Amino acid sequence: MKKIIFRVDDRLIHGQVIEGWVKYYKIHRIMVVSDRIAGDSLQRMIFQSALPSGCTLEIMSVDQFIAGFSRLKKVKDYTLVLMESVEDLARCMNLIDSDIYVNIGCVACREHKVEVSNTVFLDLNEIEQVCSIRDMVEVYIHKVPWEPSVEIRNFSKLLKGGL
Amino acid sequence: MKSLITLFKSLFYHAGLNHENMQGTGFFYLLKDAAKRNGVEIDSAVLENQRKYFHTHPFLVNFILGMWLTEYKNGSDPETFKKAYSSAFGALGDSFFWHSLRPFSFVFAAITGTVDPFLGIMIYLLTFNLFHFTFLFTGYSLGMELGRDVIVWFNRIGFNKWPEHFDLVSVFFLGVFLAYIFKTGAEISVDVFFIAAGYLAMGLIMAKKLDITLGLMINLILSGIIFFQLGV
Amino acid sequence: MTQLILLLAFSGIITVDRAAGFNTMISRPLVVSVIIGMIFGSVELCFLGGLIFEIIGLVDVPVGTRIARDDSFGAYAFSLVLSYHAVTGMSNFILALMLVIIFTYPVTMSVHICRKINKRLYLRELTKGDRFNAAKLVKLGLLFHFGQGLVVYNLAFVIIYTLYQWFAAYLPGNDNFIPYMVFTIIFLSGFLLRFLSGNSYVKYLLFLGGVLVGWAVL
Repeated sequence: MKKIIFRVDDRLIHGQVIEGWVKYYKIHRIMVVSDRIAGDSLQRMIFQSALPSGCTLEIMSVDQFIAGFSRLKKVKDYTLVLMESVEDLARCMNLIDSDIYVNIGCVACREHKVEVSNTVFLDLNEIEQVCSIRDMVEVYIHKVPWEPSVEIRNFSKLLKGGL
Repeated sequence: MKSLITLFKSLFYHAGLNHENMQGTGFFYLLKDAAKRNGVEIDSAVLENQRKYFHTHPFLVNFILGMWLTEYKNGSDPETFKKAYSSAFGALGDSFFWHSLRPFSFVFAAITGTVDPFLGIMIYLLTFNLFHFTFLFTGYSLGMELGRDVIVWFNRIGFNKWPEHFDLVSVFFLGVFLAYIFKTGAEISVDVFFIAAGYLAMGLIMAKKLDITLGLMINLILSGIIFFQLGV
Repeated sequence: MTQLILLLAFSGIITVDRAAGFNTMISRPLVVSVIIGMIFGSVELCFLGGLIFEIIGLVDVPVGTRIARDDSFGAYAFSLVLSYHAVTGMSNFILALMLVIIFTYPVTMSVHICRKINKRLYLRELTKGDRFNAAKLVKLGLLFHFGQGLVVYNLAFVIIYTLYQWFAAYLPGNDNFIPYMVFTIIFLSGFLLRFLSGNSYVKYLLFLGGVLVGWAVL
């Protein structure tokens, strides 16, 4: 597994993240990248309190993350970067290279969204953003590490067909 | 009494689980009922919104239920905290109840069950449900009392550190159990001792790479071939 | 007849407790095995069988939307095979265990069907607007999960038992397979030991301490 994992998960820190990713890869460093959470001290505390001992959590806005990313590239341990939406991931597009494992875990059902998998629902705009990232690196739908991941491949065809 | 009714109803919170709204139906069901018993009038549009996507650990849902009602009564926006708590309690609940409490209950049940299987399962059910029902029962009133600050209670009891402590206790008693079952279940000799140690080592090694059922299948096939060759 | 009725009712209760309501852990493999052992009078043997599936289930955490392997079914079917005194030797034991493990996969898939039914019912209820009835969905969820256990568990068991009898006729029998059951439990404990969290040095030292205490005291 690549050392830096970008995961889009609208629930951010929850069971799959802690029991799946954090414990499986023994990840000690988690970053939550969300403008919404970064500006709310109580929500920061709630997420902080959900971590197992030995884990550090940094919560920051998307801009702060982009500005400090070069520092992260030098770290040799696993780092799990959690983002709330595909839109946030697209904002970090310039940071993404082949050293980063990009996966979508859970984007819950909302109205007018397309069911990509049973846990990932995207609208047209989000699908286009994923396609742009997909042009640079592979993007996977991956719930937990020990289950097979699904590589996203066919969105472009879907888009041409107008969904 | 209110906590008891909420406890009972929350036992069915995830009956309507599906991939569209997950446990949103269950939360709506609990909230509507709790609001009615507390005399809280919820705006119909706000209430309707509650049947949408929601997902948290079933044993900690009552904390969110109580928190939501308090925040709504106070006129603040409970939705932001509902979302944050649903994720955080999902993580905390899975780590404690599923990851740690089950093995913790298991090791004690296994040790006593080797003497008396019925006593063993009683120990299992009592140990697990002591925590299960305590959290379900106290969750609602604590959520109501503390509102959006309910996380403070979890920090006070150091809940995120419980899984590791429980796991270490489980590890010790797993050792006790294996020594005991080995003494009672197999005829002890040097050969048998090394076979048992070999099986444990094989389990430990396979666990790093393989799924448990795949590991077990390989073990069964290998053992079958070896014992067949030995004429057992 | 009473045994059969008890068994059928219990199979439904297991799936309800597992996926729809209560979560009292009456559906845990160890509990399932001992209860079946009590119904059929082979408690000790079923207890050992239950230990195997319990450990398989313990390391498989049902996180989020993920559906964990149906270890309860494993215990249910394996305990029934043991209770019918069909396992008479180690080769039989291996065959029965493999068949049950293989069938846990399609049985687990049946939970997906229940979730799909729940989804359809929810979407249908949504169209009713203000008359949306959550209590009805909860009751139907319980009912469908009960039905899932009742039908799927018992159907799968019948298939397993038929296949087992067919294959077992070609296998040698009549040896003491209890020590091998114990070895299997010890093997699976390796997975559990790795699964439990904690500092590795502390963990393995504690485990060794536990082994010594168990050996010396009990």
